[in-house]
This record gives sequence, structure tokens and C-alpha cells, in this order.
Amino acid sequence: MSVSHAHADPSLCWNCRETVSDSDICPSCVKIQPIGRKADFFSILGLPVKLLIEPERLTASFHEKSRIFHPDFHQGEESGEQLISLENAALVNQAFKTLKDPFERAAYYLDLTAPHHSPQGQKTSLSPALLMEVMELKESLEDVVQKEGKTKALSRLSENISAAEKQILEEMEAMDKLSAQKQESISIMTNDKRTSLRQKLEYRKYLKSIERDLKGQRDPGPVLKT
Amino acid sequence: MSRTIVGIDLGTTNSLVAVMMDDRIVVIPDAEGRPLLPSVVALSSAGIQAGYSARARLNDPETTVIYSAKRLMGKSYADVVPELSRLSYPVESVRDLPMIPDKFRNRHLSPPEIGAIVLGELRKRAEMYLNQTVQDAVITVPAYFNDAQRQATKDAGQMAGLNVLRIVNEPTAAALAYGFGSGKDGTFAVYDLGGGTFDFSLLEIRKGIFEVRATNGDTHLGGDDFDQAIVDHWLSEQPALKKAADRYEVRDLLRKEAEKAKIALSGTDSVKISIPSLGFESTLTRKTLNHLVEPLIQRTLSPVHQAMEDAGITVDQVDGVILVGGATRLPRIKEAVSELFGKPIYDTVDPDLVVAEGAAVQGHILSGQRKDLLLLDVTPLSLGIETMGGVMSTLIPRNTTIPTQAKEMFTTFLDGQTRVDIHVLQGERELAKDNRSLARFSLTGIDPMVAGAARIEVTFMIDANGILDVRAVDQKTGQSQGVVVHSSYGLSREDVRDLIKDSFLHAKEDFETRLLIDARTEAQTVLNATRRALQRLDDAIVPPPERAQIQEQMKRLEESMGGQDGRKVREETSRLDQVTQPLAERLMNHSVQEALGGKSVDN
Repeated sequence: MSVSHAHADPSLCWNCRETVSDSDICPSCVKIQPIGRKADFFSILGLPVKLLIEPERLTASFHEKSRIFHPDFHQGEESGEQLISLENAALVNQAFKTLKDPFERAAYYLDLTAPHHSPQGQKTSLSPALLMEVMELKESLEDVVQKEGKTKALSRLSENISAAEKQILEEMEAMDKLSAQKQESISIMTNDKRTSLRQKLEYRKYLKSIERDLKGQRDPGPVLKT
Repeated sequence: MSRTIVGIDLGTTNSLVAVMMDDRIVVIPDAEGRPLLPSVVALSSAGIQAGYSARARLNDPETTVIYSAKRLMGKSYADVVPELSRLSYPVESVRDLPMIPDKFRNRHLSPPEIGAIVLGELRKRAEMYLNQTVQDAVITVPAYFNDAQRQATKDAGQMAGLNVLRIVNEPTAAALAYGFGSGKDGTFAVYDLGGGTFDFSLLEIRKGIFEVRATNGDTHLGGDDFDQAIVDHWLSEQPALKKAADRYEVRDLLRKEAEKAKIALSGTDSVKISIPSLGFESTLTRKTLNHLVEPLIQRTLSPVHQAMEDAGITVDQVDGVILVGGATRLPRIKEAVSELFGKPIYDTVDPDLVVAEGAAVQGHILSGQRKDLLLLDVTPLSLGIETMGGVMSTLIPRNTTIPTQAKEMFTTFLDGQTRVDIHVLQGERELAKDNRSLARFSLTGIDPMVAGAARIEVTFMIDANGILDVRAVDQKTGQSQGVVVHSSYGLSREDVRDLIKDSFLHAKEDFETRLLIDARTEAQTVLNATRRALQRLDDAIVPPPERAQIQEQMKRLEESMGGQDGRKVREETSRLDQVTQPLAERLMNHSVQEALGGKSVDN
């Protein structure tokens, strides 16, 4: 049972009560520390909060943290430590999974750095102009399917997706540069830029869903739950 | 002297044991120098035999000969029913578990007990060879094995007096045997075609970390099917044989000849077959053989593509392909794999021995407490809960690295709803009823609120052993309820594959149904919210023309909901969203002003 250290000071080691600040391992007793106390996936992997991250660096961090926390390495230890190891490893896996895909990472970043902390998972609606574009593309693709077949339509669509992704990546790079130059908190970044990126991410999502649709695959998109 | 940890490949058809000695891998042979041990157990009045001697009694009516017991491991009786027609020995249901009657000793044997007999034989072999007692072992299982099957394998080891230190995935073991992990990084495919099963896995190896990225396969495809294809070819060539082939012994004889011919053709272009007792003479060329097995080779490609897609890995990203399993000796297979990947083929280690050799390497690592290698595993099937309209909402997709945790916020569908039912599901299909039900529980005591206002957080946690813990918490009241899904509820390996296969066969129809259900559900929510808003707001906020326009669109949406076209429902829903958007913005501004202490608005 995880009856917990609810009021424990997270800057102190759960075991020896020495100061650990934000390190993964207590410097005095060498016990692993719960990383759930860290604010976000970037810091869990020890990475700067940035939109672009080199894949090699990401993987290296993931492996480094896995080596520290994986339950296989904490087999013989007491249950409290095993539980921390389990939760930490799960968080590390989750963080890696979210940050690995640049578009998922961008969406996560926008949520994380939103100036007014909006409820997560808030629905972004596509601007009428982009929505129109999607509709038109969809119609023209249906045309292509009819006349030239599915393969052709899919290759057309994948060109559109690549173009959209290229734009997104460019905007991500520009935003990273801007926040580095200003040496200021990213929350200052103009709302326009954030909105634009959000819109483009949403636009890409629509394209991907058309693609799944064309391939006859399932749509893992948002579902209303009860 | 450090303790000796042996590596064991407990196979469907053959098993073997290996060990590291002075940095060299040794596959331990029996007294006659044979490295393999057929995974066959014979029960007779004279006693219990395992291996070659057991296999030799396959046609003896006085003996119960048990083979392919691995297919029954860690499953319920219901799970193995489809398997039974392929087995010539009786399997009975005892407390819903598949049990093999031992009529000579008036008892039943479980699949792990059969496994234990095979493992015991291997243990004896190792003790004789090493001249010391052997207790610690690493045993391999297919990457696809669920936790119940892994647990059953562990149990078998324990019954054989072994201390099973680790269960290792077969593809991972194969990579270890090739020395990957120390210095050799990259993405490797493991193509494992055994006697009766096909497994394909993608492994990523970086600085000592082995990650199974995806795995897929076919549980009833292997070298035995190749032999059968040859026999079928002979029967069509000489129809006179067909009658004789009704008899089991004749079929068996033909299969053995077919197997011999197949093996011979790996080294020569043509082989003569002669069975005087049947008056049968024929010539088989490699070309004909290739032609015969081509459809079977093609069948291996679909799991290959699926795993690649799951892992998001393209052919170009694969650095090499490791061949495992005796059937990969067939030259045509090497050719087909080369054609597909265009990458180096690793086939220098005997494909029958490579898995056991890798297990021995893992044993060696464990004995030295080496921490430079870490094996990261994935969950083989998607996990989720049932949501409105009987659809499955996935929280953890298949091939997610474990341990893992997923949280999602759910809400109520009805005004005043005070309980929600959480139905935990495993599988790849869209609709809840087509997937395996793992557990059900209810969360009660939710504060009655308007539909969609409650916030219920559902958390899934899978530990390193694949055991799932599900918890639901009402964010407002703090009420919580949960369940631990033990591995025994999990699915059989065949089920895993059938479910995945099913999801492809039905993908299209599932998709349409789900789209419609989801679209209707979403539409209903938007309609309810809009209706409530219109009731609440007076003409000062919603001028009559705007109200009329909104109501008009609500009517259109309701009409579309009566139809069967989910896309149409979606379009009408987003149109309703659009016509109400200006209103929503105005309301937002009002409430912001209100909050800032500006002029208050009547409500």
C-alpha cells in the first residue's frame, strides 16, 4: 500500500532525510529518489525544456535513466525502494514515449508552457480556413481514389503530410531560437506563435486521420467517455 | 569458484541446454553426442521417458506420447480447445485447466509438469557433463509469451529442481549469442522459423540495452508445414498413394521422407526419393521445393510487416537479420529474407542452438552480477476500458515498453449520474465485446452533476512482470476503487495473435461502427450542452436570429444522427460548433469581465 510520504519534504531523501534537491540518487545514502516530484517529462529525463531535441540525446538520456531505475536492478531491495523503482521506470518510459515523437512532444510542450495553465487535453478547434483546406483536400483525395486508386491518393496525401511536418519543424526551431535569444521564460513567447503551432499540429492530426481512414485503419482519436 | 548458471531453450519441438565455460559457449550433448532433446514425454506401464526414446514410441498404442506441451503452457482448458485436434494424446479439463491423463499411474499431469520432465532430463545431462550439481538456470520463452505462460515456464523449472533466475525472450537470447550488446549497436530483426511456430521480433541494441521494439508471428507455421507441402505434392503426383496415406503410419513415413528430402536439398539441387514398401519413386528438385514452400514463406511476411509498422521501423533502418530455427536452413528462406531486407544475414551460429547459447550468455552475466546489460520488454496487447456505446478506449497500446503507467480523464454521460462501471479490456478490436474482458468494477458515490462535469481519473499501471493494476478516482470526492489484474486472467499466446489478426480482418467494419457510435455520442453531448445554454440565456445574449440559426443546425444534426453515416454526423457536429462559436466567445468575455470585477451580467 502506498500510504505515503504525503507531507514529506521532496527536497529531502525519503530514507536518510539528507538534502537531495533534484538529483535521482541520494548523495549520502545512494538510494534512488521518487522522480514523480519533478514537474515534467523533460526534467525527468534531465533534458532542457525545448521543442527540438536530437534523437540520440533523447535515447541516451532514456537509457541512462533506465539503468538507474529499472526494477531488474532493484530486485533484492526492500519494498519501498522497489515501489519507487517501479514508478520511476514507468515515468521514464512514459516520458520517453511522449518526447520521442516530435509532434507529440510539441503538443506536450505547448500544454506544459501554457501561460494560463489550461486544463490539459483541452480541445483545439481548427480555424475555419484550415478546416476548409482539410475538407477540400479530402474531397480531392476521394476524387483521386476514384480515378487513380488508393495508392496514388495515399502518396499524394503523404506529400501533404510531409509538407505540413516540415513547416511544423521549422516553427519549432524558430520558437526555440526565440526563447534562447530572449533569455526569458517561454511563457512570454507571443501567443500568435503558440496558436500557429497548435493549429498546424491540429491540422497535421486531421491529415493523419484522413490517412488512417484511407488505409482503413482504426482511429485512436479522442472519444467521448462515460 | 562462481556458481554455474545454465541456459535452457525449452522449445515446442526440441529443447537444449548450454553453459559458458572459460568464455566459450558449450551446448551440452547427451551421452551419444546429440545436442538436441526432443520435447517429447512418453508415459507407459514401464515408466516415464523423455527425448528421443519417447519420440520413438509415437506410434506405440501402449504408450501415451506427449509432444508440443509448450502450446498448452499457462493456459486454461478453454484456451487450448482449438489446439486439441492437432494433438494425438488426450487432454482433459480439470478445474478448467488442461491436464493430460496418465492412465498407468491413475493421475493427471499438467503442462508445466510435462515441461518439468523435459527440463529434468536436461538438468541430468548438464550434471553428468559438468560433473557437479546444477541448480540455477535461465530459461527462454517466445517474446509473445504473456505473464501466465512465463509463470508456467518458471513453475516447470521449479518442479525440475531448478532455480529459475530469469526468463529471457528468445530473440533477445539469439542476439546475445551473436555477442551483440558489447560493442555492437543497432536495430536487428530476428526471424525465427521453428518446427511449428514462426516468430518475428525487432530488437534495438544500444550500449548494452536490449529493447524488444515489437514482436509478431504465427503460432501454426513452421518446418512441419514445409514437409506437409512436399507430401501433398507427392500425393497429387501419384494419386494412387492417396488411399494408402489414409493410414497414419504411411503418412508418417511420407513425412519423414519429405523431411529428409528437404534437408538434403539445402546442399544439393536434386534428390531421388524411393520408398520400396509403397512402390514410390520420385525426384524432387530444389526448384520444385522452392515453388512448394513459396506460399508458406509469403505467409511469414505479414507478421514481419506488422511488427515493422508497430515499431515504426523501416527496412532501411534494420542493420541485420538473425536467423533462428531449423527451418531457416532452407536456402530459399535466406534468399527471401535477403531480398526483403537487403541487409547482412546472421546465420553463422547453428539456428537450432542459437537461443540456448544466448541463454547461457545471460546466465554467465547473471552469475557475475554484470550490470552493463539491461533487457527492456514490451506489453504484447493493448489495454483499455469500455466507453460509451460499447467501444474500447485504449490506455496502453500494444508494444509499449513496461513498466508503464497511463492516466486518462473520463466523465459521466447522464445528468445526475452517481456511478460509473469500469470494464477493463485487452485486445486490438474497436468494440468491447470483441476483446477479452479482464476485470470489472464500479466507482460509486460520485456527486450528482450535469453530464460531462464529473472528472474521473483512471490509471493503469503495468509492472516489470506484466501485471496490471487499474484504479479509478473521482477528482471531486476523492472516492476511489481499483483492481489488480493477475496474469492468470491474461490471454494465451494464440489468443494474442488471433486477436491481432482479427483486428486486421475486421478493421474496416469496426472502424465504421466505431466512427458512428463515437460521432453520435459526441453529437449528443454537444446537443445537450447547447440546449441547456439556450434555455439559460435570454435574448439579450442570444438575439433571436442567432437562436434560430443554432436551432436550425441542431435539427440538422439530429436528423443526421438518425442515419448510419458517422462522417455526416461529425460534419454536422462541427457545423453546430461553428455556429455556436461566436456565442461561446461572448459568454467567455462576459465571464472574464465578471471575474475582473467589471459590469456584471444577469444570469
